[in-house]
Amino acid sequence: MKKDICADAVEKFYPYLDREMGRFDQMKIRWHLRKCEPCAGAFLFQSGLSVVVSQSLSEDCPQKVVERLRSFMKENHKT
Amino acid sequence: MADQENFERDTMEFAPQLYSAALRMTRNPADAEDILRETFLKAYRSHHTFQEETNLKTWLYRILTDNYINQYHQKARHPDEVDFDDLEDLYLYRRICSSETRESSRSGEEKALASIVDEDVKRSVDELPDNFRVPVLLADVEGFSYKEIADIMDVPIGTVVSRLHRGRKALEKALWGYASERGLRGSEE
Repeated sequence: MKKDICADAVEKFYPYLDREMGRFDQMKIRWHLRKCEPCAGAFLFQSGLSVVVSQSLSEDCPQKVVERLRSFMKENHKT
Repeated sequence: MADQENFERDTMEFAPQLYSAALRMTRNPADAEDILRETFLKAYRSHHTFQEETNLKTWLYRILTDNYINQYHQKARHPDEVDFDDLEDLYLYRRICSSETRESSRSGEEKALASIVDEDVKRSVDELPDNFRVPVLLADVEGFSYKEIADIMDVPIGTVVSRLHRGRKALEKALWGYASERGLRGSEE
């Protein structure tokens, strides 16, 4: 990796993944990832990691919880 | 009253995802249900303060997060002031690349990702102090923008960016620790 350019790109991976940067910066990152294979590999890993984290933390809400909430709100909050 | 009925109907639609978020925060189904109820009571009672231009989902998450922080934060065993600044970017990736089991092709990265189990992620997130854990959950699981997280947590946007960045780096380090423990990625150099 070319130290400065790559370090700058790596630091911006998350804002890029989060779509929290301006168009110009996005273009710069995209352009760099096309040219720099080590950064492209790291980026693929980072984006994959985000998906893994998000999927691992998913929790279902049992229907019974919502039903109990409705009953609770009927009893405790009269409109 | 039609306005109140519409509000209650719209609000109830968010109940499943608010419960899931509460469960991730508290790690306990009974506590999560308590927080959900308190959130709804507060939301219904504060309906008059809700402004139409405000995003209902963000507003509800703000009440939920506020309830969690006020009631459960005190109980949290994790210290809040933790210095993650010494951690490098791409912590996990760099460890995997330098581990003995490193494969030269891209498939090495895919294999490493596949080896991360749900339990490792849950434990790693649980170990984060709340100040870092909550923004990570709001961004990575709930999909909120930095601005929305700032509104929900009532902190400046720069604080969100900083906590997210440091929280994710710490998460990667913890994940590496579990992967190493289980011998999946060799030992740390």
